[in-house]
Amino acid sequence: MTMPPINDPATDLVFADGALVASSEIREVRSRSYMGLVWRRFRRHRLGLVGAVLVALIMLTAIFASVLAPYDPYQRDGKSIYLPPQRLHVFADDGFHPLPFTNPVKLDLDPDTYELVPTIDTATRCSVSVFGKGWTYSFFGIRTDRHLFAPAPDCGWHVLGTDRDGRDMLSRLLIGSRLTLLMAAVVVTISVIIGTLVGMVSGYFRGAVDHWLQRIVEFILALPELPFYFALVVIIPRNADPFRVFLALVGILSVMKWAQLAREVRGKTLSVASLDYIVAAEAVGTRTPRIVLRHILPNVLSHVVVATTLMIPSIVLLESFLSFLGIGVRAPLVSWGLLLNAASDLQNLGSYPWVLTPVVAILITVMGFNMLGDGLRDAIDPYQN
Amino acid sequence: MTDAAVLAARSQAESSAPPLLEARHLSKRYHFGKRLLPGSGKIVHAVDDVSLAVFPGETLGLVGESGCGKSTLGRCLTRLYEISEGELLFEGREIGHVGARQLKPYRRKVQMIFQDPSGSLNPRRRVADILAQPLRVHGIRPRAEIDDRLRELMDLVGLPPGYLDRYPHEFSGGQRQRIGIARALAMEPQLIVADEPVSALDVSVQAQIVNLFADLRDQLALTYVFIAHDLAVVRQVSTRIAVMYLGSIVELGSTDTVYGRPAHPYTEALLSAIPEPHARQQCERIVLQGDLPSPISPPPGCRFHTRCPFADDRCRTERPLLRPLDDGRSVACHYPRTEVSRTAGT
Repeated sequence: MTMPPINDPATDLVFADGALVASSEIREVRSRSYMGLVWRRFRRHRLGLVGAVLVALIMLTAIFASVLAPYDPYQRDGKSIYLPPQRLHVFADDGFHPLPFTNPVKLDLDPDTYELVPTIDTATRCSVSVFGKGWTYSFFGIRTDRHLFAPAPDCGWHVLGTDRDGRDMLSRLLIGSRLTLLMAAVVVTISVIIGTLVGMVSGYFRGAVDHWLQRIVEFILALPELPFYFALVVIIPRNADPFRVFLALVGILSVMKWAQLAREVRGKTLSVASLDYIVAAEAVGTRTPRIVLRHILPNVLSHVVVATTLMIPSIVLLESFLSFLGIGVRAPLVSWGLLLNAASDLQNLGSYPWVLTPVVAILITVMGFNMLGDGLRDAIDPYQN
Repeated sequence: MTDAAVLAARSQAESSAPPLLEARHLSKRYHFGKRLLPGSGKIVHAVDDVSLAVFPGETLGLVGESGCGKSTLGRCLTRLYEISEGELLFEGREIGHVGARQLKPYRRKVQMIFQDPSGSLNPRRRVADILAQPLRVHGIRPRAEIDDRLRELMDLVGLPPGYLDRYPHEFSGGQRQRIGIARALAMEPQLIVADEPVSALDVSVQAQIVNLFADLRDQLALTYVFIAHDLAVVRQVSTRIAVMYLGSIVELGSTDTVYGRPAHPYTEALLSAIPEPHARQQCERIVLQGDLPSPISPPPGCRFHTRCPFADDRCRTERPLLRPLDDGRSVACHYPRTEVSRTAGT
């Protein structure tokens, strides 16, 4: 029984317009709120649920990145340059080890080809300690050096290998998620606020306001994106503070991204504003700000929520694309796109394919948000049957 | 300024009391199309020079085919639309062109009921919120009394007060319309403009809602402007009828007079379209030729001459004004049917 008793045709008969049909049976039916209805429909959307779980995991990972990262992502180590990913073992000759250990890898120079050949030293084991001491970081204002997995010093535990400076890829990937997701979150928040406001004002007041706002929107949508980013980033001086560059990038993306949403929200507002309940609110003499905030905004918001979830992955992709090209996030900051920048050298890519692991992270993030967005889109309008 | 047309609009009122709501030469025009160059847009004459009076206690039925401007007129009367031209008087006070602040007391006294009961209720809000909104906006009752008032309203429209916590989608069409009526009643209005309030409902439910309208009128001394295209429903509820064609009123009179002996050829054709249950009463059906002309470029002279079987050269050039006939009704026709048949009889 998927349908609640409210929509049951049998009860509907009792509900029929006979008026004042008092039935204790009916009284007990629980009225579902909007969120309740949305949740009921979302629950049935398998992919959406998977997406929600993925998104939740990604968020938690980003928040607890420094707790999870076994190594200092900025710590260079000349002795472990381009180490391949080490396999984790839980079984050894002496039985089961609940904490996965690795065998250290040594790089030896092949006398004929001058290639570095990794040899695995199966005799020694590199183990980790749970919540052991590692590199120092500050977490919500608390300075600590505890990590979920703290590797023993001088015994490599590089699950995803290391990069050209001997930095742990897993740690860099974890820390990099923060900047990538932060950028997506900030850009999406700013452009959603601007886009929703402009769209609602444009759609509700119409007339000349609408006319000019739409011309601005069209202007922004007409800007050729990529050359525009190039041009704007070139303006920023080379030796500028990397965090400033990051902020500038966030600003540029926000300015570019609100226009599409403004247009969608305008359309939605136009259709909502012509509905009779808005007219009824006007007939009662409700003031304009109240009508916009209490009646139009909630009905437009469902669309905005979906647009937001679908906009995040597009910003994640855009960030990695721009950073990959070298016009996005700059070192020493770490982001997924910047990590991929290291993979732009084809020769390196052939010899050290593990530097591509950020691609997997991006893929999972984009897919997670897209699946969540799809599920929300199907669930968010529960009144359309 | 009480000219002939305004006086004609008051014809055959049941009482001699001053009109509650009066429209004088009211027009509503829309511009549409691109207006990049001045004067290049098209203009729709949705309501064209309508004079109309609504007297306290009566139910004025507004009928006409779809697109004739009856809904637009209804929304002009409630000031939901801006009036392009003409005057609107409520209890003798001009309210057609005043701002939102001066309009607020009028908003309390005139309410609207909508055709589509599902579109007129915000799906996100509980019935209690929907009904309480007018009370809060106007601060009519102290907060503590709002609950009691809501229960009273539900009782008035015949819904159990327990339904206040529900959302609109949990109700049937008829129940939703009852909620719409309750919202209109919340502010204790004097006049209710009902825009096709039953046409979206099942026939069986229609009758219940029509009865509810009648009960409420008696109970609360309401005045209605009842807009509908269903002539049978209008006949049942109205004391007076205004027939509209292409934005203008063509005939106005008491229900019995208009339905008994229509004077305007359009009214005659319209009424002949009502299906009669008894075969012996079946009169010949008048089928109008052609379509409703476009309100963008209405025909010159009498608006109806393109489809009128009796039109002559005078109709094609000179526009007939609404004028009173001997039997108290008013008609906008050069050759009213009642006069024609009378002269034919002698």
